[in-house]
Amino acid sequence: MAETGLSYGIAVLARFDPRLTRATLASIRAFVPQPDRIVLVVPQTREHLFADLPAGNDEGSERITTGDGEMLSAGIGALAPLVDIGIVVPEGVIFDADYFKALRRKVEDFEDRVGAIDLVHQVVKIDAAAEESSAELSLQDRPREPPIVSTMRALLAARSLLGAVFWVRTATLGQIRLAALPDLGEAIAYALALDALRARGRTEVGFTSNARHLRLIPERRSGYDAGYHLYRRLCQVTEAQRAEQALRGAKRLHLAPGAERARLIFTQAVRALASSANRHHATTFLKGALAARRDARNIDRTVQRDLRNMR
Amino acid sequence: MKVALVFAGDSAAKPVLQPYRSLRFAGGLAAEGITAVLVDVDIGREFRFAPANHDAPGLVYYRNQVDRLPLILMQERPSVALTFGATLDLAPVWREGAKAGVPILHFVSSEGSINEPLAAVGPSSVRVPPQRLARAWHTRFASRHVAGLVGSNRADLGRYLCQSYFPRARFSIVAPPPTCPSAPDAMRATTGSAECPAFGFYDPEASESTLQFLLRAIDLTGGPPDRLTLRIAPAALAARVPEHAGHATFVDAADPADFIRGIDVLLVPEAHDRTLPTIAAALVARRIVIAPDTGSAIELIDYGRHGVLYVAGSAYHFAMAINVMTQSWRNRVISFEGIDAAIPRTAPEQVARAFGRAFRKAVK
Repeated sequence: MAETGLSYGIAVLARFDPRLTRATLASIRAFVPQPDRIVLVVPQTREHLFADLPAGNDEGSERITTGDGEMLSAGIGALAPLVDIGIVVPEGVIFDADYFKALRRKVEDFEDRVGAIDLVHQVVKIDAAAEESSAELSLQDRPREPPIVSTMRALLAARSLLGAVFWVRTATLGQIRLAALPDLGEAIAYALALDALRARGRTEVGFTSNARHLRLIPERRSGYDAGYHLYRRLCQVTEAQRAEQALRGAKRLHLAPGAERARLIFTQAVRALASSANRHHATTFLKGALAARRDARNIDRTVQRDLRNMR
Repeated sequence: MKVALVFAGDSAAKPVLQPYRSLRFAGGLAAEGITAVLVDVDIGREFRFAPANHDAPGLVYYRNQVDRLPLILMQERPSVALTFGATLDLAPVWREGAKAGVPILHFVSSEGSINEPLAAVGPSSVRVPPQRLARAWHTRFASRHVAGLVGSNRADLGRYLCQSYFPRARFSIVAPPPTCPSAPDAMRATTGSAECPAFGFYDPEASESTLQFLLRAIDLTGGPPDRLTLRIAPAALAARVPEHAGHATFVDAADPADFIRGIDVLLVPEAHDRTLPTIAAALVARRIVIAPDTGSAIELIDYGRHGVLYVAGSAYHFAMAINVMTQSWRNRVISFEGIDAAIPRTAPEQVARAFGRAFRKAVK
C-alpha cells in the first residue's frame, strides 16, 4: 500500500509567450486524476499577455501576479499551505498523460524523496512564423525527434537551457529561502532549492521521457542579455559555493556550476555553427556569456589584488 | 500476519531501539492484526551484546548467533522479517535471513548513520580507511536482499539510497521514533525570564564532540557570558568537557520533562533519533526548540511556529540561531500552532500503524 491521501498542486510559470503557457495548461488538463490545485503565476510586467488564459477562472485553480524574480517562491508559496506535493513547471513543457501517474508512484512508494528536478530532453521545435495566426499550438501531428538526438542533448546540452520540472514535498520546505528565478535557466533556481533540501531527504536530478519541451523557432531576439545574465549567475553560484565550502566543507551540488558553464558555451557554439534558424541568437548569446566571463575574471583579479594590498 | 523483529549487533541494545521492543509498540502492531516474534542475534562469534529489555510478556523470544537466523525464521514462518541495528553491521544478517526465503525489510535509524558523499574524489577521500571502504561495499552488496525500508527520518533513508544501498528496495516508509510525552498545563508556563531566555541541553548519551560543538556555538554567539544562561543535563556530562566546564551550568534531571521545567529554549546540537523524545517533551511544554535541519526533528518543528532550524553541522549557523532567539526574545511570536496535532503522530500506536503499512506492502 502506498502513502495514501497525498494532495498535489501544479504551479505553471507563465514567462513570455501565452501560446506556450496555454499548451502547458492543456497538457495538465489531460491528467487523470486531476491535480488538486493549479496555480498560474504571471509576471507583473507582462500580465496583459496572459489575460485570456483560462486558469484562475475555474474551481481548483488560481492566478497570481508577481515580479519576475519571485515567480518560483510565489508559486510554491501559493501551493504549500494547500497541498502535500508542489510541482513547478515553466511554460513550454508539455506533459504526456503518463507523467503524473509516474510521479505519483515515485513519490508515494518512496517517502524519503523530498524533491527532484525532471529535466526535459525531448524537444519539439515549432516554426513560430507559420503558427503566428493560431492561438493554439497543436502537438498531435508532430513526430517525436529521433531518440539519438534526445540522448545526445541529455549528455551534452546545458541543463539550464533545457525545460525543467521541479517537484517538492511542501512540508519539508520550512525555513528554506527559494532563489530568485532568472529570465533563462529555471534549473539553476531549482537546483539551489534542492541543495538546501539535501539534508532533509533524498533529492534527485534526472531526465524524464514523459514530457516534451516546446521551442519556437526562429529566435530573432538578441541573446546577449540572456547569455550575460545566465553566465554571471553561474559565476555567482560558484562564489557562493566557495564561501559555503569555507564554512561547512565541500558539498556536492545538484548543478555543478563549472561543468554547466562549459556546457553552456559548448551548446551555444554548436547552435551558432549548425542551426541556421538560431544562429543570430546563439552568436549574441555567446558574446554575452564571454563578456560575463571576462567581467567575472576582472572582479576576481580586483578582489585578489585588494586582499594582497591589505596584508 | 506474523512478523519477525530481528535485533542484531551491539547497536540493537541501545536505548534508541528500545521503544520498538516495548509493550505499547507490540500492542500497536497487534491492533493492526500483526503478531510479533522478537529475535536477538549476535553478529560476531566472539561478542555478545548485553541482554536488552523486552518488556512485552507473551511475545515469542529467541536469542542466538546470526547463522541460526534461517532456522529460527523457518521454524516460526513469519510473513516478513524486519531487521534493526546499525545498517553497516547488518550484511551477515541479511545474507542469512535471505536463506529462509522470507521477505526482508530493514529499519534505518540515525544509529550508525552514514554521512553525505564527498564532494569530489581527491585527497579528502583518500583519508577514508580501506577497511571502512571495504565494509561499506560489503554491506552495499548484501543489501540487495532487502525488499523494502522503514526509516525514522527521510534524511538517513535518503543518504543510504543515494549511495546505492538497497538497490532492490521497492518502497520506503517513514515512521518517526516513538515518543510518549505528557505535560501538565502547569509546565506550559515559561521560566519567566523576560530579558533573556534560559537555554538548555539534555542528552545523557551526548558524546564529547557533540558537547564541544554546542560550546563552540555558544562561544561564537559573541555575547557577554553573563547574558546567556546555558544549562546542561545530566551533570555527569561535565566530565566529558572539563576544559569548558565554566561555560555552562551542569545540572541533574530525572527525565527530559523534569529538565525542561527550568529552561525556555531547548538546544539540539546533533540530529539523532534519541533526541526526539526530549524535543517532543519540550514542544508539549511549549518550549522553543533550536534544532538542525536534518533528521527526525524537522518533521515536528515548523519554522517560526515551534522553533528555529539551523544548517546541520555548522556551529556558525547554530550560533546565529541562538542569537536570533536571544535578540528577539521580548518580541517572540512563537505560536506552537499545530503542535498538538503533530506530537500524537509519534505515539507508539501511530508508529506501529506505519510499520503495519510496510509489512502489508512487503507481502503484496
